[in-house]
Amino acid sequence: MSFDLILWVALGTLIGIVVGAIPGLTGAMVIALSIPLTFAMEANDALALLVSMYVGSVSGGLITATLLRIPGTPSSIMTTLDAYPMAARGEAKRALSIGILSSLVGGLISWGILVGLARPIATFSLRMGPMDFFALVLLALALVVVISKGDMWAGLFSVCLGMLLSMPGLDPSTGQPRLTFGLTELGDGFKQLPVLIGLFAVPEAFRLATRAGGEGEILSGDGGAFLKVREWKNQLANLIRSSLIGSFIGVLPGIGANIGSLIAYGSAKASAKDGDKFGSGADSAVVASESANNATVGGALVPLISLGIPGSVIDAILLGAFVIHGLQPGPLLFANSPDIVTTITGSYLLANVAMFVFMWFGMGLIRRVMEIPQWILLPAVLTFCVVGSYAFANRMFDVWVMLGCGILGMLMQRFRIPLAPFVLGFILAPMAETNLAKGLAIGQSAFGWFSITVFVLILGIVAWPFLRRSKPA
Amino acid sequence: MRYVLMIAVWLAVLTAGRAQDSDFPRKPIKVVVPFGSGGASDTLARVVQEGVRRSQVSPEPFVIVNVPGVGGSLGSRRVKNARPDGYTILNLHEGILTARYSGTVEYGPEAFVPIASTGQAHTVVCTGPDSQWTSLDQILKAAKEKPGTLLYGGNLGAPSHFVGLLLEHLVEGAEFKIVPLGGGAERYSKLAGGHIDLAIFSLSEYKEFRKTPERPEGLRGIVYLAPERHSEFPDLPTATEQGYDLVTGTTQYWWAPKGTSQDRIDKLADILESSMQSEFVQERYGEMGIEPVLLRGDALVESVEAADAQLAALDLDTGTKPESLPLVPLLSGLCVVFGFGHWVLGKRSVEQAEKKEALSRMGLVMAVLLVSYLFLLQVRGVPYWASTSAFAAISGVVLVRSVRGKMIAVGIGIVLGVGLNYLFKSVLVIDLP
Repeated sequence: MSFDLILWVALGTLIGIVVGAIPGLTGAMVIALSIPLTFAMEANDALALLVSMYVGSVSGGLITATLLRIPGTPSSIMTTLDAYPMAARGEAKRALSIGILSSLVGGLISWGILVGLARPIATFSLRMGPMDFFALVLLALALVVVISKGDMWAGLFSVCLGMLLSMPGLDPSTGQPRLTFGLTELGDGFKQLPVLIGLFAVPEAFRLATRAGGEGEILSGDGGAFLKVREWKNQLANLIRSSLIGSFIGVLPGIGANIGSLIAYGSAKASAKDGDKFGSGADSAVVASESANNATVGGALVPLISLGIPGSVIDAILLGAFVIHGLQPGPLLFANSPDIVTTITGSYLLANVAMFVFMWFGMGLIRRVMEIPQWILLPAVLTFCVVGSYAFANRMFDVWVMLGCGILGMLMQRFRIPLAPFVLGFILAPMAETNLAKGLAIGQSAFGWFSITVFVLILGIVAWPFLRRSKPA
Repeated sequence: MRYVLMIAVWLAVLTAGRAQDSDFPRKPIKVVVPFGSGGASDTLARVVQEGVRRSQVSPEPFVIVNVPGVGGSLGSRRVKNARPDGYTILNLHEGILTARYSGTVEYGPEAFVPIASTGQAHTVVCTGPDSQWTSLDQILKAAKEKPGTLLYGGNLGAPSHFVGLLLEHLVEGAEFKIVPLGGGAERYSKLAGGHIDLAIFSLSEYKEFRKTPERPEGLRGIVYLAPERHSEFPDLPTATEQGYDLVTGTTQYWWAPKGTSQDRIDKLADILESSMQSEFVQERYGEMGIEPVLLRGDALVESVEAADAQLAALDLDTGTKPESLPLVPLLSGLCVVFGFGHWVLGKRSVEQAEKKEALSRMGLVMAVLLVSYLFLLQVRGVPYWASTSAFAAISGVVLVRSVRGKMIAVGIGIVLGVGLNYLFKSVLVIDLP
């Protein structure tokens, strides 16, 4: 491992963190757009740079999720639920340190899996069919409702509203546009990024604006320092479980990266001692969400390395980068040039360490995001949201969608309807429907022991609140 | 007198320049790639783009603009409606034909002028590693004996779907069950996992995913839909050898909006041709298994017409159409109503108690600012950096009270506008409004 490589990893991680932290810019966007910039670089250096951007961007989302309640990517939605309340009550330092350490652990554990078990896991994941995927997504949807804080009905309403918003676009079973109201721009439905940042960032920006008078500042105080060793011991099981969930779910192509942290959050809520505090700033919640979302990165690299199948959008872009650098992607690449595998796994490990170093020692600086006056922060956040929505597909339509979702988000907050279930419903419904359509086309043989087990589990989850209620207290 | 002469000469030069158009292009050429960045189409376009840069044939660069959506039709529609000045062109394969046949758009290649095609790859029909079928003949016979039982994975409305229909068409009464699957990687994983029976791949995908001793779960090639066998895979028979006349593949076409002048079309074709001849493109194409065939002029038109005729021969009204799941939107709509009802019933009392602060005046001012900023971007009257600087500066000024703060806000606004403009336009090469 050369010194150059370490420099590229450090640079990539730093860029990734910054990009992940800026609402409106995502890792996928920046990685895709940086590929042409790597034309002149050595293949190994380029891959190291891109992989570490990937790691950095997933971790950087933690910063805005914690301090501003704006998730940079779908994978940090679960983090906003608890890290923000924690920061809002003056424990920003604690929230960040938990998040950063959990991210590191999640990254390291999934690195272990990536290096040690890639091949068998990837081969197993091939056997998972569309119905199994559908079952998993349905499980995640059921969890969204169950874990939504407070009023379950408000959560259900929010999820369904999100699902409804995802309906326009191409019907996955026929390939024909539906519910587009004659708008050709709507032919592909609403895109994830404008909806996500519109819903979260715009209402936050306006909340900042209305507060500009000065009262009601968020506290950036030192309250609640680092977790004590004893507290970490309590979280050990949670850390390992969430990282494993993140790694294994992350392996599943197309669905893993988004639902890994959700399922880890759900299972942590079920088993943690502070389970009933989830949603109002529980340690275990931040631990679960952050360790799992970093672990999905390693998980998603598993099928890429062992089978040549990209596990996530970003991995697909990485595959494209191989081609440009004259490497034939696919399994043969890894059989023929093991040094590439070493580069990817090595830079993944290094990037996790670099991420930890940057974020841990930069925490003082990061926390000052909260001290930036609104009149600087707000115009910056809004311009980034606009340019980010635009750049995704190069059209103004997405920017208007962002604005519309911003208004929707403000209305929902006004009426105390939680936002997170809405976005999750919006993201998960198309995955569920696509996989259901595939499964139904395949027919009976699509049902296997895995999907049936998960369906039973979902039934249990849905029935649980009713069963518990009927029990005499 | 001297001035008049100078102006006359100047005018003459100007008009001459316009007539011959010899200095085209004078600004970067936007290449609309109607798929996401990082995909196969995008990668190919970017390789050609890099070839244009390296061959130094064009004074201005090609700029890739990704407009993904609806199997390429969002992007193709944008180019169709663009000004026909040669500065906005489209890079799209046979998807331009299949989109019309599948009914997603109402126009086809006739809405464009073809510039050139840069490279093509023929299609390979594959089964899973342990499939019971070893030849096209067996597959088609099975599809005829038990229509609708063989599972064919294809991307609905895209070329991969239509090749399935072309295969069915070879034998009267043969019918596959089409399973809607996405790109090559997904079709591969579903074949390798034994979830579907057959699918098609481009030669480069076949190269990646074929069965080898190191990869027992790889694809088994059945036939190569090309005029003759590929030199790298001499064991892979063509369909013609097995008695079925089917040749098809993916050709990377470049299109300009209808009405673009012939001079500019020729100039663009020249640029693409030089790019194709560059060492960079030749090498990359070799690695990707793409035949570096450049078509222009009559050969190009023939190629488009042949592909169109092939699809036109399909009788698209027969056969089992995929059914939609009509209940899904309805169900989510019902759930919304149901959830809303429950929520209203349960919440009414609590809501009365919580008096929300009204959106303050400041919020309203910001909303007006934001909407007018977006409006400016929409009409494209003002350059991006100017409107963004103005928006950021004015909103900062409105929000802060002290004079020093206002000055800083203006400074930050300008830095933001210019900085973002530079970052996106020059570093990341994105086409901003």
